[in-house]
Amino acid sequence: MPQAIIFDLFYTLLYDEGTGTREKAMEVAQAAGIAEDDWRRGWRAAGDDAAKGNPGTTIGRVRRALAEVGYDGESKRLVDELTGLMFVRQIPRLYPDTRGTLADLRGRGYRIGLVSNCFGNEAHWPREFELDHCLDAMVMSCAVGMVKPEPGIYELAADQLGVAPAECVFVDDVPSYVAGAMAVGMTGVRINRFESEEPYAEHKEPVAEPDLRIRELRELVEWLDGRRGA
Amino acid sequence: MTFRAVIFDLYWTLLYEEETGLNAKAEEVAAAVGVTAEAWHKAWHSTLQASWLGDVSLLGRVRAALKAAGAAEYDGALAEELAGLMGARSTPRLYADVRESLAKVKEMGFPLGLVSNIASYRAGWLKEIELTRFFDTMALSCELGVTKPERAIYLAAVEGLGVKPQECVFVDDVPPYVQAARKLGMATVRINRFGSDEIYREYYDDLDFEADLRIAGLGELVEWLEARRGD
Repeated sequence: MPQAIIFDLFYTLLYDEGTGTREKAMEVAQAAGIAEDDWRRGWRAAGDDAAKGNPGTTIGRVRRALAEVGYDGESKRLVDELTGLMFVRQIPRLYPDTRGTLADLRGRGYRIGLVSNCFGNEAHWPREFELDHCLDAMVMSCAVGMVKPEPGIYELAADQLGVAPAECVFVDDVPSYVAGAMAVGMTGVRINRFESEEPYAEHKEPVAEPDLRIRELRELVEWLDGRRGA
Repeated sequence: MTFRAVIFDLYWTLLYEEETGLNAKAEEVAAAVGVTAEAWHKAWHSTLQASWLGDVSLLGRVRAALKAAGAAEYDGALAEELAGLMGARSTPRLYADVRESLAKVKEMGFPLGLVSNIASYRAGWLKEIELTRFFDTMALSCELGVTKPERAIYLAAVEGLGVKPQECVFVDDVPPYVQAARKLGMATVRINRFGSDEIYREYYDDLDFEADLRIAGLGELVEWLEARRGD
């Protein structure tokens, strides 16, 4: 019987909305002679390990992105300006069913956890938007130096919740992250908040079929209730 | 007295905030629940101290400000949107002389401290712009639950640095914060990045307070420290 439900953050409990500063950063980079595509590519490449806390800061990622595109200018001002803009590039928006569902599940006696691959500039969101009130454990990749789908990050969450992985239901939108949880013995739930699979086109490597597929969190609660009744 | 440590304020001493343009959007959202731009900013400001003390989250601060502005009924999503906008309405920018000057002061052998009245949702900035690496100790109001000009926040930094207040140089732009440091026996440096006291005059009566040094940029602090070392 599941004792704990562990959620992913991005596109499961919340989505992010651009603030417009990403575009401003692009203009700044262009003004420094960096082509738009190059900057985009460099920033992306610099983010490969950023969720693991490497580099652990926005400014570190900016420096790496500039190095990636071969920018050899020694402009500290450029680095600072890009850092300022990229730091506030997005703001979180909770899905309408997020708070209600977390409260419902807690009311049913489940322990609730969070496992997120996130960057340093987002790590304070759960607290500042008061999601932490509904959480018994919070594992942020940038703080623990592990990312999904590494087994360790799921096991750490189960450990913090005081349950065995087999007693956990794990909910994520990224197929390979759900599969990672199932590989350590958790029950896997795949959520897709979008109308189609198109946003996940780049995740096409075959992975284990999840135990449940849902579109919104209500379905998860119903499914859990059904299992409990069974 | 020989100085053994230097303690800095953060805002308008080491960094300033650059607007991102989201302020106008926040005003629109507030207007949707009948709060004028003026009333919103006044209400937001009235929640500053609670935010510095770490008593409220960003979302909690928005709720408190909406209440102060007289908005009784609103959707939870509206408060969340407003929180996102207020959190990202500005972004940190270091003054051009900061990294070099802090490095120089460190090279001179001084451990560095930071004493800041800062909200929890801003504290993440320090790490993201790699400012934390300069400091041997940081006394942040949102973590300690105490703000300048109270003694306890200065003493937390002094204790963290393992020195006596009389052995510290304290650098800040806000008159009462400089004066409080002086009362504790610190050598005080008043920095004013604006070229005139006009903006400070709006908030503070006494601008002719005593300070050991008055500067417009950190380069002057470095020179002053170097000259005193030579004595």
